[in-house]
Amino acid sequence: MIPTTTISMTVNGAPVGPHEVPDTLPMIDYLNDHLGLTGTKFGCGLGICHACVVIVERGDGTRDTERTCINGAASFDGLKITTVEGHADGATLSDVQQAFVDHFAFQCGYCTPGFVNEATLMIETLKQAPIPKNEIEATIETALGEHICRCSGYVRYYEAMRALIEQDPRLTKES
Amino acid sequence: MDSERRQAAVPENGAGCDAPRRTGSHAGMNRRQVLKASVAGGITIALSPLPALSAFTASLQPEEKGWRKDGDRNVRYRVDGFAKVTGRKIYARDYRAADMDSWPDETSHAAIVFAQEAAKIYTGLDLSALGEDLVPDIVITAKDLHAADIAATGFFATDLLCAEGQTPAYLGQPTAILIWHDFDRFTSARLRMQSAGSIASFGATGTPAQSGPYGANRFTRVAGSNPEGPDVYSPVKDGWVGPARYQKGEAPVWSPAKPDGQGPGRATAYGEAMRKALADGTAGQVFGITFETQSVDQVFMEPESGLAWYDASKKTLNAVLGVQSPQAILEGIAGMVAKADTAHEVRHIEGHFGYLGGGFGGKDHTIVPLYVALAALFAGGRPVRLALNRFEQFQFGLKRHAITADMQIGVEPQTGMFTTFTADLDCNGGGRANFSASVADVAATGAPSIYYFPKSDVTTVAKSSRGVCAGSMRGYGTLQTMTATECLVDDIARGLKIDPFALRRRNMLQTGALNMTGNPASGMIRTKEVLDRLEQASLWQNRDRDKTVFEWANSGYTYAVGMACVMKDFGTGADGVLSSVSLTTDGVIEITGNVIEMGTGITTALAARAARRLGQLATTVRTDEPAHWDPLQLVSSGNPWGISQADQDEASKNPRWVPQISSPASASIGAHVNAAAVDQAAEVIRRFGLWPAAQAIWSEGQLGGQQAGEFVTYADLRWSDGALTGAGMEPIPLPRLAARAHEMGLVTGAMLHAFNRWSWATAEFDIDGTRWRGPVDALAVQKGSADWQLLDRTSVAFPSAAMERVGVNYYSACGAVVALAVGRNDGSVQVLGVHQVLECGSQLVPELVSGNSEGGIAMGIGYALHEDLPLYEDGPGNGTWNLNRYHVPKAADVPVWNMTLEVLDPLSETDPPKGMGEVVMIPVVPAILNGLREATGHRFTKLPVTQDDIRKAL
Repeated sequence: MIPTTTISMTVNGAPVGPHEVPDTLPMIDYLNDHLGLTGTKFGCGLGICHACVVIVERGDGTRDTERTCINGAASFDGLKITTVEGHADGATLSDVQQAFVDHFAFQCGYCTPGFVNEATLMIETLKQAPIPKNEIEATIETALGEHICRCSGYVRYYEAMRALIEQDPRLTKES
Repeated sequence: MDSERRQAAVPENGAGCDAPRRTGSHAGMNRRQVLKASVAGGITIALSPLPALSAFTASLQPEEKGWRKDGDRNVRYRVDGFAKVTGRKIYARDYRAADMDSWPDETSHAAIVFAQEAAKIYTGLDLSALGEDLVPDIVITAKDLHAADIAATGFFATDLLCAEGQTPAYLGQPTAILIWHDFDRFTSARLRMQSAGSIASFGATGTPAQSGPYGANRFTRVAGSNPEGPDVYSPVKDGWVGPARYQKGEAPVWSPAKPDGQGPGRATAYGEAMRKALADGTAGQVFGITFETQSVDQVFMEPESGLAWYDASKKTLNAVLGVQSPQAILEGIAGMVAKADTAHEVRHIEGHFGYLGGGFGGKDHTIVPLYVALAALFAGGRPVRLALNRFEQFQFGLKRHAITADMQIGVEPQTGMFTTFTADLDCNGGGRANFSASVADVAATGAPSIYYFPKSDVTTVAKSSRGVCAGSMRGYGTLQTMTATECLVDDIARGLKIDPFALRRRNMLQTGALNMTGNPASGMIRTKEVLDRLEQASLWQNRDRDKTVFEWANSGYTYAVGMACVMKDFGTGADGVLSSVSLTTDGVIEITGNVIEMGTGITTALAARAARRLGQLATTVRTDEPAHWDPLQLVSSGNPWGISQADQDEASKNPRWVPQISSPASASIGAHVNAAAVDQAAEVIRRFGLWPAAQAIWSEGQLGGQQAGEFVTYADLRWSDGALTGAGMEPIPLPRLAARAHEMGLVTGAMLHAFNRWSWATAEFDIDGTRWRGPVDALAVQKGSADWQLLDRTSVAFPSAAMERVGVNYYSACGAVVALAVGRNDGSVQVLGVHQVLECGSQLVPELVSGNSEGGIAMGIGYALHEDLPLYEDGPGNGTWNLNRYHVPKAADVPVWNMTLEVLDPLSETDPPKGMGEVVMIPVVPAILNGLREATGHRFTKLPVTQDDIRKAL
């Protein structure tokens, strides 16, 4: 018998579960195959490319990103998860999503869900703790630097975020 | 953007008789003939887009922030932008059986067992690592395929599964397919298999069956007194030359030299004479390089996968796939099951195709879909999903060819003029035939890059090995050879103390001059402008100042700048495309094209192309739909790359015949060929629908209305803010024009086929009493209704069969200046800035062009400095490779904030768009190497150049 665990969580604002899943089931498989949310992408399976990143909100309200290919679904039990499907409000894209499409940031788009989640968290963080304008580029490099994109050379992803940060006075402060 | 290619021209001067060229493993039978035969076996094929893709309509786009606005000729963002940024199901990997209408809901899951050995005998599966609870529900072996009379044929011919008792033909050869009907058991079993390393067992030492070289050719040219021709001898003039035989099954042996003969011996004689002149100094000062390039993985972000269901009651195989070459893949599956027993009989294949999460060539004629089909055929009527993980993708996915290039250039030392170019190319194609023979040819014909050589002799061979299969990848062999050429030319500049730009200008191929195959390239060659602009780049102009500033601020680092410039072909020499454009009564423009979107933006580019003729962007762009092209009733026969003139003349008497119906997304043909078909369809609507509708509106009223006072011609027409005007006439918005065209029964839709063999097929049609000739060979029109009326061509002119000898005709040029810093103590390299100059005709969507350039630069940096795969036992075929040990450039490896692109303005607004997805990757590689030489004084001749290599050189 496969050892199993019963899990429940909130995904994109909706409660899911309880579901009985194998202890070893990766979170990405839970999202893709149990919940049918295929926006979260499998890239390497080792947690290196970061295509599979989602946003996780813990019980204390703190939010972070997590890789779903190397973390089991059981480790997300009780948490609030936001996947790429959870950002747009109907036909209205989030600011990060809109910035990415406006800048032609991606090409094949397979890595985009990971970038959307990571960049969204970065913007949320800046709202809490604005940065000097001369640190914008370094901040983007740190936040998005682990995400692999094979098509774009990263330029337009980064330029989109720089423009978004520069145009929102809440995200920066005087040096 | 990237490249299938080219069933290169068949040697016609006798070499083909005693030295059959091999493409795939079927000597004497070319790829296309085999594939067509498989379809002729009675299996019908249908291609469909996936459900989400077929609905890329305005309804999917947010109204307030859409990718287009009515009347706007500029794309606001990609057609697929909203879908991709919101995570919609658009990739084949996203689909499960429950997503497909009329399929069973439950999905079974399959995994391939790969051989991690190719030097031992395969003894069978050891399932003990799985435990009793995770034993697969179905195991498919070579015995099963044999019993069912299922075998890969034609282009894909290979032993699909290694049989017990055999030595695998190559590292990573599949040995079995396992299927689990329960997802949780499947994922658990996979984890155990991964922990176990492999469940394929091996015994005594064995010898893999070597299939011999995949192909070889010799390209020899001797110019006459003029660069523009006629030549004394060339592939175009005298035919392509293949080897007489292969020595020990490996090295090509060329026909004995016969200076006065008519056969391939002339090429040998001229080639040997050139090499002797280089050796004895009569060809000038000689510079040479032996350059080794590595095997690399495509690392498209979406690993290959597929979903398939065999409906035995209807003898139908349904498949969801993500490939660059849908038609070829379905034909390959059809060939595989052509003789299958009753239990696995297939009469119809229904293929659904998704957007690709990257392709780069690696999803062109990939064999993975055949395994998806196999899984379904043996799954007991259940839909099956087979999705490679990244380890498996490394183990089995198509690789870039490792090539060794031995080059020499003779130069007149006083003038710096090149006299002679020789090269010998050795390409490692791995253990399964794919495009290796063709890649070897393109590597050869691309080797001269931007230069003119009065004499050239290039031999090329694609060899088999026990390595993982190599195939098409962005650049298609030219990345390797052009890099070597650009390093060698930089060495010549240093050796002769000539400015590198000046040396290149002195020796560049001029418009009208003949290239290495003996062909004048299409259109004007603008290399000089590219070089001029590149030389003015601040990274180059200010390099001495920048070096001083940088090294003052960064002690321990050496700053250097390198440059390179290349000219890359696009097209395959037999490109067939389909397009339809329809105008609704309210002016909505709907496009359908036989295109696959792998990320380059072809669907967006097609939408933009419509604006040139119709004043605004298309509203919808659909990929292939089943039966959409039936109104054209097209038929095809023969090999479009090797057909004889007599056969073509005979076949073309049938007004439904075309040499090639459709082509893969490859060879950077999207902007040029696919977009041209849309352009012509839109032109037919403008000429025979909108123009008469406009005349009718402008002549309304007393005494001929507003038009009576001017002589308005078709040439006067202009679009202004989405309205048609000209010669002072009232601008008429497209919806009003469309409504009038529908009301009058004028042409409101055009569906056409176009064919390009280094030149366009042209045909004449009678449209509403007017003879119209265009670069199309089949045409149907709509006249105010959804029905298509097929028009017979009244005359047709296909490019002559001899055009195939051209080998390369369409070029785009790109140069790069790279600034880098080398750590003097640790040998580290940081690319600090890249400036590229590109010539690509008319840009369809500038943001897509620059995006391709930026991605190409990143991929080039990876190729030059990071990416490397051992070819054999330590390489990816052993199943242990993933991104933890294969370094794909991250943003920190790329000068994200210092990457710039200049694109030359077109000569006029009528310049055709040129393929540019491949060329933008190439120059950055030799520019880095030339920068490293500047920084270290050492010429690195083996890729990648690692930190350790540099440290040792320092």
